[in-house]
Amino acid sequence: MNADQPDRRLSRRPAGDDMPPYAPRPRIAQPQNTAEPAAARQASAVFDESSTDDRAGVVRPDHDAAEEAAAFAEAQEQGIITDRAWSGVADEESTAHIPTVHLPAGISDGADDGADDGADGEVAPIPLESAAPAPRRGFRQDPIRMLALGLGQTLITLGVITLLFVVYEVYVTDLFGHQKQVAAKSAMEERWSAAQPLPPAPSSGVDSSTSSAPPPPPAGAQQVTDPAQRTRQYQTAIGQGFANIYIPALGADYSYTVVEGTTVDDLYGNPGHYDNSQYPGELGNFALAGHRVSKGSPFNALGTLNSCDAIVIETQDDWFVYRVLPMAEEVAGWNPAGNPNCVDVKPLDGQYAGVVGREITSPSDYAQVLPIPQVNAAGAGAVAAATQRIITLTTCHPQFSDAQRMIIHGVLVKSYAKAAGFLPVELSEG
Amino acid sequence: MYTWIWRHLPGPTAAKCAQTLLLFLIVVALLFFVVFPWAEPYLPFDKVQVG
Repeated sequence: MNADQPDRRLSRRPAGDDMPPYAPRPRIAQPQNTAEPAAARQASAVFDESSTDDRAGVVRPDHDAAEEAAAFAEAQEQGIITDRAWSGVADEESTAHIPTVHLPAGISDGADDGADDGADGEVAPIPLESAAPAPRRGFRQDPIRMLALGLGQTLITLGVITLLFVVYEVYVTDLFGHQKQVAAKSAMEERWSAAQPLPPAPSSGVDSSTSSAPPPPPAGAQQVTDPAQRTRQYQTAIGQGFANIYIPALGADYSYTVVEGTTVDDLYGNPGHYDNSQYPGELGNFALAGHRVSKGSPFNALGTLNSCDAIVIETQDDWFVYRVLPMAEEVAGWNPAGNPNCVDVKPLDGQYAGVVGREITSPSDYAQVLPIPQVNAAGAGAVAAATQRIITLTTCHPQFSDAQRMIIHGVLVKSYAKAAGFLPVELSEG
Repeated sequence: MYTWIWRHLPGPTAAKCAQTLLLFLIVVALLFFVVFPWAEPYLPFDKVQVG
């Protein structure tokens, strides 16, 4: 900001004899070159000629700082230059109407293309520079300049705030969300352990793969249940966790605690359950919403899910394994041969026709989370008509926007009763 | 505005720099913990539900 002040001063300089005697550069240049009081006096008195002064123009870049200082001190002694700022000279020699403006040390830096940058340190002891206060320019002196400055600073500030908001949204809310998620998970696990201890795993002699552990985990087959026989033993409260969701395809460590409700608070850090949709394992639709970017980003990677990928839900007493339905382009000619995960997955038909693995839809498409997706009926009748156990995940789409919604649908393919030490084999799918 | 603040900070340049950094961090904390959480619900990328 200081750099342009000399220019402005020059541009405001009146012509002719009204020339204020504090023009910045010529004054400095003149004494150093001549070291003669007469020349200095001449330079002091007639600034307007400084620009045509050959000696000043040629020699200045080569000036020696010590020489400058000596010449300057000499000029001071002779009363040509006071030890005050340039304005002091102005008061003595001229009746210039320019307000008192002191020339600070910084100005000569900016004015002179760096030619005498090295000299500033040497010149500093001269009171001329050290005594000069910072320039003050008020709104009244130059309103346009002040307005431009203010506008520029405001715009830069707004830009920085916008960038900070991006940082906040993409990184900081993830930290906050993680804290809330950890709190929801630990509170839920406390409730689970307080409810009733898990039944011991039935001893099994037919364990296949991991028999090295002292208490052999039960074979999955013995834990398999009929979801129709399982009734929900837990109650949920808005904002409280009641289930864990695992999606092994998104990483072995992909695990979030699902809370009840889909308000802004519920979804901060957690996937939330549409509280009027059904519960895990039930006939109908177990529907979840989750943030894609920010606030824990639980559903950020839903776009990478493929058909037949497992979505495992752990409740207080059960494991429920859902698998992503065939995608729209796979429905015709569905032939999952070779993919063992797809054994129980096939395109839905009948009233479920059109329910596919992934859909991009409008934000108002509430039918996606109804008991029979896309059949616009809710309530007990709709649940009674449901013949499938569906899971639905909703998140915003595209990434970094919420103009649309991405919907993932899956069907229940297997359920297990929980037991100490038992983990569904689906969790180790990659 | 920034010139005014800089002029009114006491101490040598190093101290002014430290104070400037401190002021900046205070402003950032205010934004992160108060202003942005307040403004967030009004912005168009916060909704993930249908309906």
